[in-house]
Amino acid sequence: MKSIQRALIFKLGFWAFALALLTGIGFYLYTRSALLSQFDHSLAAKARTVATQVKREGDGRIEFEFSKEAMPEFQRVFHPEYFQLWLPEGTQIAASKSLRGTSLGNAPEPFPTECVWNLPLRDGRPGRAIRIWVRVPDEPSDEADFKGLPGLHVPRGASVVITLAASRTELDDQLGTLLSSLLLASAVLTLGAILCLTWTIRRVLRPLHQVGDQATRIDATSLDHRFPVDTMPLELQPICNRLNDLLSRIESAFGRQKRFASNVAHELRTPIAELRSLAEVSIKWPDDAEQSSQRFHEALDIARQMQTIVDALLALARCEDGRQMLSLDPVNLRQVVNDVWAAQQARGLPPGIDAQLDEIPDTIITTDKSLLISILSNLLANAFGYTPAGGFVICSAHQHESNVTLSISNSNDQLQADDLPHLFEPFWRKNPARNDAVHSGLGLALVAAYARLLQIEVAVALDDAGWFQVRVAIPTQSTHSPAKPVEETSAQESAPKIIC
Amino acid sequence: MRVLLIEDSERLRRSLEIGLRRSGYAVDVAADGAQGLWSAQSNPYDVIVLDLMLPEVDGLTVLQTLRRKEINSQVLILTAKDSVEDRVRGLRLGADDYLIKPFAFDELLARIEALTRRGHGVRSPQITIGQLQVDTASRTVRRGGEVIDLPPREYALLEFLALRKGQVVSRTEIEGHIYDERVEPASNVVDAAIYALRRKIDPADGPSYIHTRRGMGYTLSAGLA
Repeated sequence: MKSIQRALIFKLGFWAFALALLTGIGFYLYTRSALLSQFDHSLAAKARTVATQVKREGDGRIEFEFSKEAMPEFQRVFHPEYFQLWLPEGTQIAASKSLRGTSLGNAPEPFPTECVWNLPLRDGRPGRAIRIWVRVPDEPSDEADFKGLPGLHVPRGASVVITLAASRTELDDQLGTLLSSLLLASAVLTLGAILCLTWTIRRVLRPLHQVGDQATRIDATSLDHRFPVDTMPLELQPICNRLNDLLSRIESAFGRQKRFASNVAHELRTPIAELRSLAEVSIKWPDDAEQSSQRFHEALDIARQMQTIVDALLALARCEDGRQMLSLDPVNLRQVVNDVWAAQQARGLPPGIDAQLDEIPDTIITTDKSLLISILSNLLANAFGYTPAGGFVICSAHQHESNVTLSISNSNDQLQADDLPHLFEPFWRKNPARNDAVHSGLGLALVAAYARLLQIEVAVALDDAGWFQVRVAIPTQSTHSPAKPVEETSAQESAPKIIC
Repeated sequence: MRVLLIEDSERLRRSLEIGLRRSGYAVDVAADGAQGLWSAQSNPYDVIVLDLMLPEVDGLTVLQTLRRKEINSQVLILTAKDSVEDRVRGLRLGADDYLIKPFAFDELLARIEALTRRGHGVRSPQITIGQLQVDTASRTVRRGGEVIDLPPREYALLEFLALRKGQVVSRTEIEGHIYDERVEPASNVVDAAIYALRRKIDPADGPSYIHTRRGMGYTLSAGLA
């Protein structure tokens, strides 16, 4: 399983180790170069010292006066050093006794080019040799005194080539110790870095763990939980905000679902209880034909009420499952609105209510006529049914570029702004009592479902004067592509607005 | 026994009212919480059958108000709300029983009977007064093994006296528990009912079970007054 903490520790630990190693290697190489340079300077200095023992006599003869006491390292048997002196043309002038007649070979450059190189010494130790040119000084003597003596003769200002080799064991030991120390330091640094990183990452990721722990504990019974935002690091605040939004929506959906289940139970339990009591009492105390007839009528009313509820629930289910068939035809909006209005008038207005239908645009729209009629009938029936005595119902319409907005307004003395988000919930009613056999509480839920199918936008609003208004935006050119409902939750003006 | 039925469903209210009346109960009905609360405070009900989701005043508020005013009628909550939380809340607010819709009418009757007995501190459905046996479950009366046929109101009177056997029951209490709001009992209606009941339950050659306490009321007992 992927772990951010483990991944961070592993990757940062790797980079810490790599950085420490690279730093160590760089330091080692720099130090090695410096020590070698110092060693080579030392070799060169010693070679020049040896070369100072070479002199040119007045007659041009080369003379080498080597002081064994001053430089015993070239004489000793145990761990000696070595040198050879040459004339540039290749004639050997002298060599240290420690060479015992052998030569210092394996130079990387051809004789007599100056160079420095590593080589195995005669006694097997690793060594380093240097070959340099040294100018031969003139002995201030009278040339005539030595004329004719045997020996090597060189002109004035000549140079000799000296090759000097010494053991580099001590240098290698120093470099080895340095390398070991650096590797050890890198390892210790890496380990320390991993420990510090672990502690730091755990501390830094603690809020993330807290969010994870809290999220783990959330279940269906604790949807009211919210993640703390202010105390969270800046990077986690958007996540916590989104999680809180998500929880709010889930809680709201759960609440709606619970209310729906409770309402379905109540809506069906009550008529079933009515039917059962009616039947049991009738069986227990059978009466005359007139009373029996009345009870049958009551049973029929109950059955019709239950059928209305079940039909509405099935219609809702069909809409939600996408099984509701649409029959799209050109429809004259003015004619439909006038017909629905007339049908409502024919049922008889409640006493003391004034109704006004404004001019409806003579617009042809493509829609499912029966579903549109169902939407408008429900909205108008609600407007007439819930308008208090002495109130008004006004229906008007406005033609816009892409739609016709139908407004149904009625005076209202019951609804509050807080009620608006619940209006389209199945079975929601302002009065929780179910003593109203006319309204099942599913009408507006069906309006919302049908509106989604027909791409009609339904919005409700409540003004300060108590007027309740439903705005139905009917597209004049419908594409009927699938779309998801969008709900606005601001209470006063645009709550719940259903866009399809 | 007198029952108050507070139920907003008119159809359910009507059938329950008929069934309870036919079962011998004096029944008053209320269609909303406010009316029910007023009735419950105005009359001495043995049992109040209370719906929860009521217009005007909801059922739980009615229940709380009744208990706060120390009205100790037995309360049976009759509702479609079936969650454990609802039941617990109802019982903790002072309800004596809880029945969920839909229900069997016989079960409702049995619960009302049980609550009635409990309200009078009686456990057994069979009450014995000498040779007289009153079975509140089957609503039958026997004397020496012989069944005595009583009309519902006379049975209700006998049951009320039997539930308080040995105690003096005033005329006012009898009127309050036997007659509902539909009946305007005349001044001598209780005396007439007692007279009719005595004729049916008293042995021909023995003392009466119902003793008159002049100025106080009546006592049902086997011994001499």
